[in-house]
This record gives sequence, C-alpha cells and structure tokens, in this order.
Amino acid sequence: MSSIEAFIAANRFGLGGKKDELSTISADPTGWLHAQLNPRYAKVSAYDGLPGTLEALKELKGYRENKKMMKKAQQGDVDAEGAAEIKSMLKQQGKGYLKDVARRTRVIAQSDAPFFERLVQFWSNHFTVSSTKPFQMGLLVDFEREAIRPNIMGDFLSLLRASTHHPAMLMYLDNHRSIGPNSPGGRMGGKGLNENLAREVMELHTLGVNGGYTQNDVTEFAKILTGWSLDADGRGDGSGFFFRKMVHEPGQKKLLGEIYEQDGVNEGEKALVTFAYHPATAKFIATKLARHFIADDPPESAVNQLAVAFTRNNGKLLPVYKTLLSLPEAWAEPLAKVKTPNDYVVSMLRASGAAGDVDDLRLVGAFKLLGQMPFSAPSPAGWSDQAKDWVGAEALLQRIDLARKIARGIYTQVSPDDLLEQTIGPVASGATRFAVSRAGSKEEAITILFASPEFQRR
Amino acid sequence: MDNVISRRKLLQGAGMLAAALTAPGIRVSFAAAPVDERFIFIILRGAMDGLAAMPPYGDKNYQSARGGIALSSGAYVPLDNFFAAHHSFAAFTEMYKGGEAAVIHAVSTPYRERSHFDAQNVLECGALRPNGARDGWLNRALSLYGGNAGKLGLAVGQTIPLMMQGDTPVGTWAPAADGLPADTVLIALEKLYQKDKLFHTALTQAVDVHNIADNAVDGSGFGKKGLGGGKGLKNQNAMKQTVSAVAKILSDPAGPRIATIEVGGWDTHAQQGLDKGPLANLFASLDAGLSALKTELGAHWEKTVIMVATEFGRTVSQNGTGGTDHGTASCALLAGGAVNGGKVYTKWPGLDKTQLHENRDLRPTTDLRQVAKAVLRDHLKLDDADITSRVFPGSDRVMALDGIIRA
Repeated sequence: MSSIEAFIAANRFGLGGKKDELSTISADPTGWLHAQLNPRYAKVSAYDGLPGTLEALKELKGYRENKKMMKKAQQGDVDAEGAAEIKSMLKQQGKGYLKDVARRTRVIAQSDAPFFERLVQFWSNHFTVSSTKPFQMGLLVDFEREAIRPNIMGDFLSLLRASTHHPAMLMYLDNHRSIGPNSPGGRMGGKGLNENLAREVMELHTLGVNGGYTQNDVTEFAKILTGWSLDADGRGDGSGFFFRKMVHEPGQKKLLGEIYEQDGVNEGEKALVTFAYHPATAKFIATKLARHFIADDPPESAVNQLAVAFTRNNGKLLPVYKTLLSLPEAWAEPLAKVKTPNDYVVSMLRASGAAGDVDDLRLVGAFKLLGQMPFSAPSPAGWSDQAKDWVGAEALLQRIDLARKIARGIYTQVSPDDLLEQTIGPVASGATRFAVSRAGSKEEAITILFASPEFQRR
Repeated sequence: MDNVISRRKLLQGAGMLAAALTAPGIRVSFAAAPVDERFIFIILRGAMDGLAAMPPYGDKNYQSARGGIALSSGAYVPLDNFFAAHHSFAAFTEMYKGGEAAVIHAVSTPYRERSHFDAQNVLECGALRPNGARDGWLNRALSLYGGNAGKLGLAVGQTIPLMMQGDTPVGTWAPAADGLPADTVLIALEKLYQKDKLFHTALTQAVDVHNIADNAVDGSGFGKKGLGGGKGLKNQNAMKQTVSAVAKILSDPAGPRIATIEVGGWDTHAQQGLDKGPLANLFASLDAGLSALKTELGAHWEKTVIMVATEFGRTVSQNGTGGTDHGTASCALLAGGAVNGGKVYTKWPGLDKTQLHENRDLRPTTDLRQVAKAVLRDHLKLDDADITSRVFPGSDRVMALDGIIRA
C-alpha cells in the first residue's frame, strides 16, 4: 500500500508517479525527496555532447547573414537555387528548437529525480527566456542547461549571475542593444539606453515590483548594465558573454542610494550582489517558491519561514529547499494546487511510460494544444503558477481531449485499475474509482482517470 | 429540438444521454438575455504606443519629441487638423469618418508605475492599485444584471482574463482542434467534478459555449493553431477568423453579450518601425479584427461598442534601439454603431518636455475608468450609482465621459 505522503511527494514535489514509484517511496517519501537535493542530478546523459551557447551564437550569426541574403534574394539578387537553400537553413533553426524541447520532455518524463527537475523548471521559469523572440530559439534550452541546472543547488547569487550573463537573457531582454549615450559607441552612433533587462532583473528576478526601487534606479541600473553583451567568436571568457567597453556608459551612477564609481563590468557585478542579498529578494523568492509548491495564495507563515531560511543562509538554496520540505503546510490536504499544462502532460507520460514512444511532433503538439509550449512564455514574468490562469473552460476541454489521445495510445497495454493505483491510489475518491471501473471502454476509463481532479491536482 | 444543440451528435436520438445532459449541472441552452447591447473589450497586452497609433501630428513638438520614430505625412491619415491615424488603421479610419469610431487620447489607468503586470492588474481589476480587488471590473458589472448575469459574459481564449474573473460565471471560447470529447466521458466527468468547484464550473461553461460555437464556426475551423493560449493573435487572418466566430457567438439571440479579447505583442522595446514594421503589422491586425467584427456583427453592429485599451503608454522619445520603453498615457479606441464617433476626445497635455509626465511620458489627462463608466452607463444602461459603488469602488470623483455613446 502506498501512503498519502507518497502521493504528495510524487505529485506536489514531483511530476506524478512512474510505474512503481508510489509503492517504492512509500516507506520514506521525505527521504526520497531529500536525496534528490544533490548537484549530481544536474548532469543528465541525454544532454551530453550537445552543442552549447557558443555554437548557437555562431549559428545565429550565420542565420543573420543568411537573412540578409534572403532579403537580397527577394529583391532578385540571388538565383532561385540559392534562395531555396537559404530558406531550408532558416527552417532548420525552428526544427532544432522543437527537438530540444522534445528531448527535455523525455528527460523530465523519465527522470528518477523529479523533485530536482521541478526545481530546474521553477528557476527556469523564474528567469524566463522565451521564443517570442524567434531569433534566439537556438539558445533557450542552452540557457537552462548552462545557467540553471548547474546552479540550483548552490546559492542565489550564482544563479542570478549565471542568468544575467547568459547571452539568451541578454538578447531576450534587449541588453545587447543598449548603449551608453555618453560612451564612445553612443556618441558615434547616436544610439542609447534600453531599460528592459535592468527593469526585469529588479522587478522579476530579485526585488519584486514593490521592492523599493524607483524609475530612476531602473535608469541608473540600465546605465550600469550597458556593455553587458555577447560575442559569437568567444572573445571574453569563451562563454558567449562579452563586455563591450566601447558602449559602457561612463561616469558615476547611483543605485538604491548607493554611489557606483565608474568601474566597467564590475559595476553590474556589484549591483547583482546588492540585489541578491536584499531582504526584498528573500521575500520575493520565498513567496514564489511557496506559491509554486504549496498554494496559489500561499500561507504567510510558510512564506516567512522560507524568507528567513533564505536570509539566514545568505541565499544558499539547499537550506531553503529543506525548509520547504519541513513545513506542515507543504504536506497538508486538500490538494490545493493544480498541475500546470506542462506538468499535466509530463504526469500522463510518466504514468503511461510512453515518453519514449511518442514522436517529437506529438510531444510538442501536446504543449501547444494546452498553451504552455516550453520556453515560450508570453512575457518575461514567465508562466503563471495559479490555477485560475490554467483551468478555464476551453483549457479543461483541451486537457480532457489530450487525455483521450494518450489513452487511445496506451489502452491496449495497461489495466486502468492498475494505472489508477499507481498514480492516484492513495487519494482516489470512491466516485473516481467507480467511474474508472465502470467506463464503457479501457480508453474511456483511462481518459476519465487522467481527467479526474485527483490526477490533475497535487 | 432546440437548434442551439441540434448539431451535437449526442442528441441525435441518444435519448439517455440527452436526459443525462439536461440533468442539473450541465446547462444546454441560454435563456433570453437581459440586455441586447453588445460590448467587446479588446485588451492590448504589452503597452501599445498610442503616439504611433494615433499620432498628434499637429502638435508643434511632435516631430522633435519623437525624433526617429516620428511618422512622416505619408504614414498617417489625418482624423482632424491635429490628430491622425497610422495608415495601417484603414478600416478604423473609415469608421471614424462615418461617425462610428472615436479616439480617446492621453488616457491611462490610475496606476503610475511602469510594471506591465501590475498595470494590467489595475486595468483589469479596476481598483486604484495592483491587487486592489480580487475580481475584474467587467465581472462586477455583469453581476449588476442579477439572476441572468451568468449567461452574458464570454472570454475569448483558453482561460479567463482577470477583467472577467469573479463571482459571476462567464464562458470561454477558443477554436478547438477536435471539438468536444466523447459525451459519455463528459457525463462521467461532470459527476466526478461535482465536489471540485474549479473543474465543475469550467466544464459546465465549456459545454454551453461549444453548443453555440459549433454552429457559429460550422466545423470549418481554424486549423490547429487556435489562439495560442489567448496571447498571440499575431496575423491578420487568425485575427479575422477568430473575431468572425466571436461575432457569430455574440449574434446568437440567446448567446452572450459582453466579451473580452486579448491581443499580445505590444511591448516594442526595439525597432518598432515607422510606416511599416512590427508595430505597423500589429496595427493592421487589430484593424482587420475591427473590420471583421463590423462585417460579421451585421445588424447588431448598431448596438455595439468595442473598446480597445492597453495597460500604459510608452516613452515619447525613442530609446537607444529604435523602440520605446515603458511610459504612462496611451490612447484608447472606440468603435461600433453605438459610438458617438468622428471625434478625438482629449484634453491634450502637449509634448513639450515641460508638459510630459516625469519628463518622459505622455501625461494622462483622462482616466480609462471615465471611458468604461460611460460605456456601462450610457451603452449597457447600468445604474450610475451601482457603477461607482460596485464596479469601480473609489471612483466617486472619476466622472463618466459624457457624449461618447450616441444618445
């Protein structure tokens, strides 16, 4: 028999029970979660040997040149054969992104450390980069692999630094285009500041919108960040990040009341340190973590305890996660959270063991259908963590429809009753058991199981 | 047999299923609505550059203040001797000249910071500050219709935007790939969901709206693209097809009357373009949507007001990358046969540096709530005192804008 605690561990903190997961972890659900708080899970063999950001940047450079050629082609300056070749190269870019997303989905769906993967997703969403700017598609999954995965068991400052330095973030929030008006580059070209990254680092990544900064702070931080850019040729430290001195705004800046003497890239580094250790940041991160794992409107006591853990440990994240697991609210019933579309899809894949059998297009199609295509959040705020944004009438129909499609694919190989025990056994209501056992067909039984509140909640 | 549901396979002789679906819990048709006027609110997410949409070409500081993103005379069509419309707003301009479209310029919500998310929250919850109310002002307006209110609202997209969230149930509709799942499954789930309000409400509404939408779209459909989660109505065709279906849903005699549509992509920080470009494309897409709404609403157009608004405006001058950063005032658009159009309603604040909000943004001189209050009072015929006390609490001094709706 598996316990309710096992269900909560596998769903609220995990991604839904794989075959035998619930029964295996029932003896010690908490121990199972604690064991996943280990940096060794950052490495996944499916990601070994994949090209990284530098390669993607080089490709992007080629892509830009191709695009220029494409324009020429449209004006008739390139022959038809050349134009067709260029077009197919551009298509490749989009295909690479789909492949990346499908690979990542399989990794998550087959993972033995689903809590670790949840934390990856949490931080990946906190530091959102998105395909809404299509030219950086090749960098999105690299961002998660390079900036997020290796840093989530460390401290918040490292994570913040990795994110803010990463070319995907610099491009997504326009900082590579931002130019100090009084810098040599600015005086030459008459270009200027772009506040986008500066604002979102403060509003969305660290202090939060009520974190006590002003428009003036945003502008000053934007000046501080001028020059934070990227380079396809590996100048700088070879990571793709490159500080362009020529466009850095000269002179003194004042941020959150503190004077910053002119000091090139170090000004930005200093600002990130200030943000990382700011009390507003502790509160903001604590609130988001509690909302992600505990409740859409998280209990204040839980938020406070997480914030205290964050501050006391100087932003070290491991003690924060451990505090999260120790909170009584984190193990409370009823099941307050609803799985996001992403986690709902992954839960069905884990339950059915089908991730390896589904082709890339179908995998990705499932996310598209439910409106949560990975790395495509509509804004830098990332995906919502609240049920009201996911369970509209239409969205629910799409979930049921997807459940039906997956059920259709697996019903010949599984028994609905076994599947029920394996996924929602400890919390299944009498009504759900009855409906699944009395359904008109195995396909319908599995559809009903996957669409049941117990399966969709956590 | 009720024609609203006649296309549903389940009722083609399947008496047992029909009986199950008409059991308490799932409603199968709408009763007559308590209001015949139509109101559509189009939310532009990301902050539309109002000075690019409806440029004040007659302001002596217009060219100098906007610099490289000031439009030249070929890129706009004058609406009067001071304001113009970006030339991508061809259909809107025609409506304006025909007296059925208007511009409200230099408007904003009471919010004065520059976070998209807080600003959208204020625009939608209708309070003075972010999270000042838990529900949306349009939902609170619906509640004023009392018993039949639950049949009036429609959110286009997969989920309900905050503006429409609240105690009064509203439907959602988006073009679906495959129509409804099997009826037997829906019936079983309807029972399972009875103890889970969130899921139960969603399923009930879905079944209702699909019954009408099936008729409206007539199966020809939208391909598999749908609405992109309600966020990305990017190209004109998708926009046209979607709003056409929405218009048909709103034309159903017993269907909803009040709808929200969300359009994203307005956060133009870089290379927003001039007569052509990303922003011009967004304008053209919005314009195509307005045009399709007019065509498809047919006779109902006379009773229609469409309000288009965004969370805040953008900086007057361009930033360093050919775009604009977050600002304050923008413009709102009204279209529909019930609009007292052919006019730009504004107290123009001016574009001289000294006239700007914090030396960088168009200064707001009209509150968006003034526009919304006028629509609720003069178009939807809601009680003035109720609007102030229940829809927009704290707006005692925010006077409905007189004259924007035809008497």
